[in-house]
Amino acid sequence: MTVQIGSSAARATSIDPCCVNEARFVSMDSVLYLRFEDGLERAVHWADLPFARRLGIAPVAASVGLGKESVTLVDQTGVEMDVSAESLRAALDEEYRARLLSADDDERRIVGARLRTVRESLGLSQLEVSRRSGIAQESLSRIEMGRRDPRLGTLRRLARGMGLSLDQLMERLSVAP
Amino acid sequence: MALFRVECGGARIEIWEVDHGPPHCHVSGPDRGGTVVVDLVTLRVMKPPGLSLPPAVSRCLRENQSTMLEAWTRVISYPDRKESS
Repeated sequence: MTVQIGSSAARATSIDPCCVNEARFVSMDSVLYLRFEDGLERAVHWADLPFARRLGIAPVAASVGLGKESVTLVDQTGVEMDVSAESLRAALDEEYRARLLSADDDERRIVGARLRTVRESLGLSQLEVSRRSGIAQESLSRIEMGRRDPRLGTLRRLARGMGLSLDQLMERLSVAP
Repeated sequence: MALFRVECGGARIEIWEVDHGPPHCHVSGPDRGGTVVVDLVTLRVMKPPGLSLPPAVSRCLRENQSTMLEAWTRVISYPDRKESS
């Protein structure tokens, strides 16, 4: 269960909503308390965080991490794990999570369009790249349309299929056409 | 302990257990409050755009690139639409 403690009008300013000014862990209740730089405060039961189970840690303490952009959690044996403040914000602020995922969609579409431009500039069809890379044409099509997020290994195979190194492909994908 | 952490050129480079976005690391420095975000594939600064890293830090990133890319495979991505191919 997430408990909204309060939020301030500071959200409208240029203060980074993904920086944490305060992080505390109440081990008796297993509750993580966070105060973000824009004033948003949240207290959440650790087990209710969507990544808590996968992280596999039972924290007893929390503190602000590197650059105020992460939270360091410590278990009773002293093992530390770091969670980005952005991921925590997304887990605790639905509006922020929706914005972040929407930005991901835009980025995926842009990268897909650039991949198509690179392929076409090399005079290659989807079928040829598919045959050379071993990536199904349907998958390539979905990536180019921005409907799929390619893994690094997929990009490496696509680069090879286009006669490029991964570095060369990434270089071309990072430059607007 | 972060998934990856190294100190070099007066900066700390980290990859965190839970993070979001393309493979990246965070670089801190004594002069900055926030972190500099560096793309692990291109080793370009993603945030803040246009920032240049000191040569010692850039060298350290190059030397550790493959280790960091391997570390990134263990990152729990959140939020995530789970539409990877």
